[in-house]
Amino acid sequence: MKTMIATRDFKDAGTGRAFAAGHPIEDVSAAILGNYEAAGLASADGDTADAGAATDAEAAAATVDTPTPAKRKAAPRRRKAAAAS
Amino acid sequence: MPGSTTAAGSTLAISAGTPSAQTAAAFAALAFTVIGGLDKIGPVPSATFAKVEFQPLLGGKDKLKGSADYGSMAPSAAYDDSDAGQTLLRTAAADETQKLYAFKTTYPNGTVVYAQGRVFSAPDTIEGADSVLMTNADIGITTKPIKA
Repeated sequence: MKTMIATRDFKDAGTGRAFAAGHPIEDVSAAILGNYEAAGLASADGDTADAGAATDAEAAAATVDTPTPAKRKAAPRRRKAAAAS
Repeated sequence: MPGSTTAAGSTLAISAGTPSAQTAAAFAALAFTVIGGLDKIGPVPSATFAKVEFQPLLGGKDKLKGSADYGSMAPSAAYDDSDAGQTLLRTAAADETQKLYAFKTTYPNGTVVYAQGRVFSAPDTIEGADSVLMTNADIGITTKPIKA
């Protein structure tokens, strides 16, 4: 049986068990896991659809061209005052 | 009164699974997730028949049983987004398909009523400052309830 990961913190009122986000859900029957998965509380990779959308947004933001930093202006040359003729 | 009981200890549970048959054994084989935080379950699924009346020329009015309606459930719960049963209930409400979900109502004495239905809504209700934020669902029962 594949390991299912809790997508967020949740608890089961019937069994009294609580599960932490990102942690494997253990000692739970496949049928009960099916309910958790249907509710979006468990997935094979720990991501919910909402979380997936968030990561997609992050990925999209990462591909946006970032402007190149402005070049530092060269310091003006100091010209020594012309020697008094 | 012997045999009477309060509602304390009653539970309502939901399953995303589908029973292999409309029998108590098939429903019992499903995994149900209890909906936590309930303060009320409402009417337990049961059949209500349409009353078809016929007044013969001779004799009294006859009343015949027409089509059956297995009713609706209206559970209410203190909103808890960490509760697995409430989350599945909300998922069922948001489900835009015609998928049936299974429900199991358990009486304090252990009597169980199984049925399938669809969750038509599960809105959250915010009343006054001194009231609990609630979730109130509307569950339409579509299969003949089975009492076990």
